[in-house]
Amino acid sequence: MVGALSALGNSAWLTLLVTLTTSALVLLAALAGARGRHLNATWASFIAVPHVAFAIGLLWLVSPSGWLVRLVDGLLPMWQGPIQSSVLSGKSTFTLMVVLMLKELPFLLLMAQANVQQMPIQPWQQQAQALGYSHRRFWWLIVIPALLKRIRLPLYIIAIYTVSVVDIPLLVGPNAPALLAHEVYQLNWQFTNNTQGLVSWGSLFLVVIAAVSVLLLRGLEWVLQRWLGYLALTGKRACAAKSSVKRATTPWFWALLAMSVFISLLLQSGQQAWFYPSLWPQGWQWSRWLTEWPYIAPLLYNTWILAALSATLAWLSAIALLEVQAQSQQHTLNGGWLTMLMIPQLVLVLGWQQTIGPDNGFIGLLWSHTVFCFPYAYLTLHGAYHAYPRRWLWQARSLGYGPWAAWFKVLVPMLKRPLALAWAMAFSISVAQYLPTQWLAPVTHPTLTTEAVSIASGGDWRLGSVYALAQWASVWSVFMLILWGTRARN
Amino acid sequence: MVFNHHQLVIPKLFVAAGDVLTLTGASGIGKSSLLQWILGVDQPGVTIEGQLTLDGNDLGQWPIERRQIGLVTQQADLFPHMTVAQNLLFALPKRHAHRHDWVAQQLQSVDLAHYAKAYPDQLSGGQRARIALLRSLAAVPRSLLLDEPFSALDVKLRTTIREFTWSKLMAANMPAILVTHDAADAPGKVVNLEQYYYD
Repeated sequence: MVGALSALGNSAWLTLLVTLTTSALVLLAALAGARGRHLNATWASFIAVPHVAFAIGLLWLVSPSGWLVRLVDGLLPMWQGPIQSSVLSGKSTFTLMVVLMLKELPFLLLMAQANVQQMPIQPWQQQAQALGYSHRRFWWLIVIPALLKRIRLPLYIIAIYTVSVVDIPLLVGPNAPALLAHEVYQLNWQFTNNTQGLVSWGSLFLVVIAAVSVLLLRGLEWVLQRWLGYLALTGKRACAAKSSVKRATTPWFWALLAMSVFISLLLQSGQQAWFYPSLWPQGWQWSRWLTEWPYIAPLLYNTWILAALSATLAWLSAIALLEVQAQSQQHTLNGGWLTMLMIPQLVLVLGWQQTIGPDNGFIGLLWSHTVFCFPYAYLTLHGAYHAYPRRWLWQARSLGYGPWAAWFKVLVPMLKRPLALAWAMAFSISVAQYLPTQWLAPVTHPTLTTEAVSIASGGDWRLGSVYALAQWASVWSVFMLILWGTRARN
Repeated sequence: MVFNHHQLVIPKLFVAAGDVLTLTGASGIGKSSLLQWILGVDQPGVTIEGQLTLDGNDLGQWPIERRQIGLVTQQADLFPHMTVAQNLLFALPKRHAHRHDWVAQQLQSVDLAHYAKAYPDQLSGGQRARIALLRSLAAVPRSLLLDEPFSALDVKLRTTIREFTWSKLMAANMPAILVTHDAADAPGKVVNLEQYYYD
């Protein structure tokens, strides 16, 4: 028991290190990138790319014998590939952090830009530039201190997600030591008294790591505020060096990344043989799609039904809450409604599993998905709903329409895109859920995500890519349909 | 009316059909809050006690849609997802016969017939102001509230739209309340709310 606890301790330290490094780097990149070109609704669809599909595709792209290395090999004949390094190997702490950062950065960027839009940037900038400050210096000394406070909550959500994420470490994370959530997840499948005790200890450690991470990130914010405050008081107006981070946060970077990951998945799903250093597969086996279809179709059905129902429930709840808040003029984001994101998911789901039991039917599963979809629907819709001028509704009511008629005929058509995107976001969150499905209904209700993780973590990347693409397509098709259906008139 | 830091104690005010009562006063004194109370909008943080009657009916507990009080604001508030014609049709009561003909006639009367299929963001400020007034009147209200309806317009346009508004109100023969900062806007009796202000 002591030895096992010591192993959990090692995993706990690694988890803390990964969480803090990832969150801090994502924060800095988001702060630098928030002044770049605005990420519009199309980029919300990139955020919604399921983590699992992204990880499987990215791994093939950046692994030591992956596509990028093969490209370099082809361009530089002197190069002796593939790369021999445990740090850069397919499953490593480094790869895990890269996947998490690339997946979390667009979310924080979108949150940061939504907050920047609510600030009086133009008059501030005019004042600062009239005082002789460059745009870059104005951004860091005036906007960032205000922005840091506003994006605390999304940053903490990212950190706590990193603490308890299981599916990504299963695919690309290290094994010895593994991340704590990964370790606890595996221990929970061994139903002995000894391991159940360790699961409880592990869950406790997860909560402590989440709390410590939040405290340390708050400390980082304090240090940044003090440093920027000090710089502001020096009166220095010179420009800082050009930031390369900004380039990594421009929309084309994400378009290229998403496209590369998608093509990587597509080629993997159809290849029969693809040996190093060949840039393209030596043989094709597209029939894999056909032979897998009888297995994919029921999973697709399960995934869609569950996602559509839980997204609709979460979306309606978010709208009801936002309407109540708007009527009582509570315009600030209420963190209390995001509590489920402030508790490590593994701990919460473990509690439900022990309360209602594993494989307890569809209702328990639906409940768990709805709980995790709700905060994202609320977060996605919050800005647009509270920015909506209520006087439009008074106008409609002064013309004789009742409150429901005014809401449906005036507010809904005007907010149709944010409303639809919030539903799509909730849908994508449900599609991406791994732990709740795996622990609450693994036999009765497997989904594309649970199968993609099982197959890819077993090492079959070709088949894993088929399932990952099906998962991606589920989310992507909904987003594209919504973006097309709610496009603005010319 | 009790606000966070002050209160307004307003004596009985009366507006006859065809008259326009103008309310003025410093910013933040409560002019718009008073209009919203008359319209029937709930305002958290503002306590208003008093009686509001229209044509002998006590409107105190009536919801907005039952009061039949129109509202014209500085922003015009035309619904941006509807065309000009759709904005007017939206306001026109269902029972109204020849709905489309009526809309065409109204647009003709203000030289905006060509804009029937235009969206509000394709109109100028003056055009929006005219359509906003037509829309409010289309619902056949029993009274009209005008919340700084001319303040976003330039001086020349302001005079034109002001005359257009008073002529329409005269024709409709209904009581109206105007909130403004500019005394030149007032066509009749002016009440400065600052005299009712208490710390």
